[in-house]
Amino acid sequence: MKSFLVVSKRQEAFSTIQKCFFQKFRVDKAPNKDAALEILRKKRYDFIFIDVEMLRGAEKDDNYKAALQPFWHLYPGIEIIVMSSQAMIREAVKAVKAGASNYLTYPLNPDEVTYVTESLYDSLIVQSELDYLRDRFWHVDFLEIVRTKNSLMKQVFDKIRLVAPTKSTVLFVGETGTGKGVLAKLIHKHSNRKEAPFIGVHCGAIPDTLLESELFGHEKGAFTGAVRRKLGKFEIAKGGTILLDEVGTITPSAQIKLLQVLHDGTFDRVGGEETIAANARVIAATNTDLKKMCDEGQFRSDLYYRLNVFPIEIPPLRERVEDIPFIVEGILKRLNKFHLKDIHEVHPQVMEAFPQYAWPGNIREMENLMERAYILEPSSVLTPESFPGEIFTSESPTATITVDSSLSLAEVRRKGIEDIERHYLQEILSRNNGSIKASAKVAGISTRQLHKLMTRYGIQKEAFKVSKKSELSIPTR
Amino acid sequence: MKKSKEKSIKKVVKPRKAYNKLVTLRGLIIPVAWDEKGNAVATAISTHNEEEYVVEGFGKGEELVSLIREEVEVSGVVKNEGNKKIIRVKKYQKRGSVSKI
Repeated sequence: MKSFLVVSKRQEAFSTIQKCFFQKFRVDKAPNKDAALEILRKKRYDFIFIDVEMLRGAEKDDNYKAALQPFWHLYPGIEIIVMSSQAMIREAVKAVKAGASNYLTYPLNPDEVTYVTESLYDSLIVQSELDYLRDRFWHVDFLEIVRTKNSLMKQVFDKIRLVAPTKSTVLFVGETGTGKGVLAKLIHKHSNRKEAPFIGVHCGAIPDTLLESELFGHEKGAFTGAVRRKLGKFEIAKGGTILLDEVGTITPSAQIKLLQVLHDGTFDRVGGEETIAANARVIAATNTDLKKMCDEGQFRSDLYYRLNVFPIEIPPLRERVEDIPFIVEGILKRLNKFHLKDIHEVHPQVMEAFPQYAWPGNIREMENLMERAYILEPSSVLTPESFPGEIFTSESPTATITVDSSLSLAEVRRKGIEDIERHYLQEILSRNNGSIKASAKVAGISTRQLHKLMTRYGIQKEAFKVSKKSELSIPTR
Repeated sequence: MKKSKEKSIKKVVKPRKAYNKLVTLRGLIIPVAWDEKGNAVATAISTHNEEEYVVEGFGKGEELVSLIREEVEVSGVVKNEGNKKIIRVKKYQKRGSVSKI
């Protein structure tokens, strides 16, 4: 049975709505927003009719999103219809833009009330059917991960849905911390190999001398220290999936062996004579431009073509800021699961600052910062004080340039150039995680020139290095 | 005389034919061979049950190069060559589009 809650001081509004749905549905009333929230904590309602004045609050501000948030926090799917006088239609429209489902004007017309609610209900049914059909593919454990409003990520998930049931090699390309490992596991869990092992190998973390042995195994006596036969990751992943993270770092000899796996489906252990059939689905991941490495002779072209059979590019976090609330919610849920604290909210000031920040470390950086804030926070809301200050600083360099009109034009010009240079260097160092080589390349100068400039402006590269966890651990569970 | 006639009768063994059958497959078009510039010159169909069918590179099969990484439904004649399955495409359609015969 559908239920409606009318939040208005106007008795006629409640009477009109009650008459529309008399004996069909339950209609209750509340005198104000706080009373409505109190009622909602005890009972669930499908629709809320609320006067726009009550959303504006005592400050008469038009932050309708913040005003509506508490309702969605209780019931994410609740439909909110805003009521307003003719003079306040603009405010009602603002509320709809902030997320309310529709608006009605006083005096309420019963036909209009019925029409709006029925239309909303019909579109809810259609949306539910679509969501059901779409979500039928995704395993229930991964529904949180595939939630996105970003068009680029929707394309990523469409591609994953397409390629997961096949045996095709997949190549994930994206910046560090964007969740390549998580998406690789998503493919594995939606493939025919979901019951078989998923083996992740961080190729960049293994010494060059041990990489071949780690991937393909070795025979007893193959080299000094090989006291017994060892199975490689490809053998352990037999029937399952193997993730080769940072595949661009593998040695030339390992590249040849990997090419043999992808081309012939076979490999030999180090020091072995037996040819073994490889039956692992290969997923590779990289944050480097493999095509460029091929052009520079650092990576085999034939191997690149075979890895690049089905490439999927993952956008960095700064290009999918509309997903930040979902990601924050997921991180908070996981933190609450593993720690004794019960923090369920993030301060609006923090949520406003997050989309403005560059996130050079992407989702992993966000997880690290939130975990730190979670540990430091004494209250039940993650406040700005628990986060580092750079999250809240403006990114615009013009905001920090001040003009002193007492100086000569030449001095102002010199100071302006210095300020812009300093901000530029800070920005590129931040984006390249403090790497001098990469930053110099982006800036089009030599590393020596970059060092000189950094010394002149007192910039330390260590301040821009994002602390990394081991990439073998999957960041989100 | 009869024995010499019996000796002259030789058993003729006919060569085994490749087994051909008409099938309809649904899967992803993937590249399987490349030229020096890295352009795909041959394709295969990677199906949802983890099978791969190499596409014969002429006629309708040649057109599938333009549908690399797309999901298609392909009808054709399959033959086995060693441990490879090869399909001669009769008709195909991109999933959600009009059939091309």
